[in-house]
Amino acid sequence: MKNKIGYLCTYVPEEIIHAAGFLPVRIAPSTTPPTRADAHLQSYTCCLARSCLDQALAGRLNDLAGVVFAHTCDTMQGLADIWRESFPNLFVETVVGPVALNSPHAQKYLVAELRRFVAALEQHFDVRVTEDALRASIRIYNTRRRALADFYARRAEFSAVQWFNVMNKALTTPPEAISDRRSATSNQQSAIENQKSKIGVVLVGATIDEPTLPQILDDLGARIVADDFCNGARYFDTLVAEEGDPIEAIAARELTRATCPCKHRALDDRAERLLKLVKDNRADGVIFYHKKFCDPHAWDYPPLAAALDREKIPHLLLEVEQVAPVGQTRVRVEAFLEMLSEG
Amino acid sequence: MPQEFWRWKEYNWHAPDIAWRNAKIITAGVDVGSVSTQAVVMVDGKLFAYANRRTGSSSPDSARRAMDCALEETDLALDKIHYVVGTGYGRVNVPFAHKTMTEIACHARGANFLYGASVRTVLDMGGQDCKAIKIDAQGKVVNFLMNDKCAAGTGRGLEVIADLLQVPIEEMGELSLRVEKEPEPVSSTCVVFAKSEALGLLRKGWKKNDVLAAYSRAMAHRVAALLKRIGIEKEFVITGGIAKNSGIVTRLEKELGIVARKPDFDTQIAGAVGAALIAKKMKDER
Repeated sequence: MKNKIGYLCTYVPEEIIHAAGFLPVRIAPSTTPPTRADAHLQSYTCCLARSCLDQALAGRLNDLAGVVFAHTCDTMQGLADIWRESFPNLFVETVVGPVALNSPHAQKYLVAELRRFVAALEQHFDVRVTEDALRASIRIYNTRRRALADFYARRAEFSAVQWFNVMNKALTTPPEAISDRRSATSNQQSAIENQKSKIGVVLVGATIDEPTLPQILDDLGARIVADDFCNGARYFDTLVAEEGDPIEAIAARELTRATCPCKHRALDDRAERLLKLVKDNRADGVIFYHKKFCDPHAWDYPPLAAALDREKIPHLLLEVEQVAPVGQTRVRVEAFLEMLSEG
Repeated sequence: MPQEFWRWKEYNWHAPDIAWRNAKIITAGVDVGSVSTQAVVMVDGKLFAYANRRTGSSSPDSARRAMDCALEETDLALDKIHYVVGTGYGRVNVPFAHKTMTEIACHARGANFLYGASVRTVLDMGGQDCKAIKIDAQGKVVNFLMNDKCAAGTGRGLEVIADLLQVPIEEMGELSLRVEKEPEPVSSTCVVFAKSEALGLLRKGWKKNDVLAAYSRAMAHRVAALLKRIGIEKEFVITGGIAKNSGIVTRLEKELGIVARKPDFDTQIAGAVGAALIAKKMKDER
């Protein structure tokens, strides 16, 4: 039996999939330009949706027993439907979490939705998701999140490419594989040279899936001092409570973790978090790393940019498709770093 | 050989009255752009010699050729230059450069030197891209924006249209202004699409001038959008090759409601001038 279930967004509760006996793995865009997906999606949908669907249509995700979506942006909603129609025999589910995280009903609603998701898994695969199994899975994923947070706390010792590799490997490997800092960074020689670099930047975006930008930052001697990525710090910044009802606890984490632009907690929630990231980590500037045609991040950009402007924090906007063009990206980043450096 | 309408003049210049032997510091900047390469030599921060050449397929060769050309009629040799900064898209491939800087920093510094310290907004319209740069009184970059990765609204696009319409590139601007009524802009500034659109207009019986006007207007509009996004502060100046096209500059000024300072030098050398000045600063600080 196939034992992996894919997901595209970290609002999908990994613990529940894991407690049902499956390994949740993040489906990430590849660097190959999509061909098959173009029959289903316009070229003005984001590369994440196009590339992930393309891989599925090419048969490269045939080892998955199912794919779980989270209700976030319109593209993801549409993608879930295309997936369902393209693979009628596959387990395709959408976890429809609340958008207004500050609603007094959000917790109750999300708990009900998560219980529905549990029931869907149980019914489709004829399994039982027990409370004990859920508690065990919560502990395992908390351990991984702690290990990543621990690695993150020491990120000054590592290069940007190493940071990228650790984060991207983490979400596609069994959680037990990354249970401490040492395993998070195994095969990663600490990049001592990086400690010399002076300029620190905060990266902001949906996901970062290929290492062109980290490589450029390494080449130019800049450091990533913090990030706000779905497959970055947003993934591990909040743990699930290990006491009490496990589903209630999983729901509570989703409502309190750092928000993605598809969710709403307060009007200035993301701007305040970004300013705090900059100040706490003494960053010199912010790089927005946007996927072309990603509406939620594009809509959030003007108020975030305005908040940075008010605080006189320099920022740069990069819009990339699947693979950032090296020359074009490098000249922008290099000019930005020149701007940040004295003299 | 048929006339190559896109081909602009390559040339060199040197100051007849500067005695480099008495100089404290001799620096150079080499700007290897996607279309053209400039080498500028400065003696104690004064323009001594420069050259403007087409970029070839090899960046190192293009850099060497431009530098040789700049020094050609002087008795200064490359090994007498104390410090060289490479810039432009081929900046990492300037074999004799001590350091590299982006063309954004260099155009900012160059515009500050060539136009004066009151410059706050620089538009660099180059061969393959376009940059809106805000600078301070020292010529340091405060903020910048670049166009997308396509060649829309760039020198390369102009070369393609020059060839299509068989109009020498230096005359395009003036010709585009000689129209009875300003036509609607072409709808696309993508070089490939704009070319087919221009062909369509010619077939419809449009005059060359009108087609040029329609294309120039579209280019100006696209660049204006970039400047509006970053916000224009006075003084406003244009560097790069397209600053020499009066048709585009005039239309841009009209759309923005601001007049660009008129240069009394070749705007194409601004990047290399900036690089030579940054080279001087780097050498001074060592």
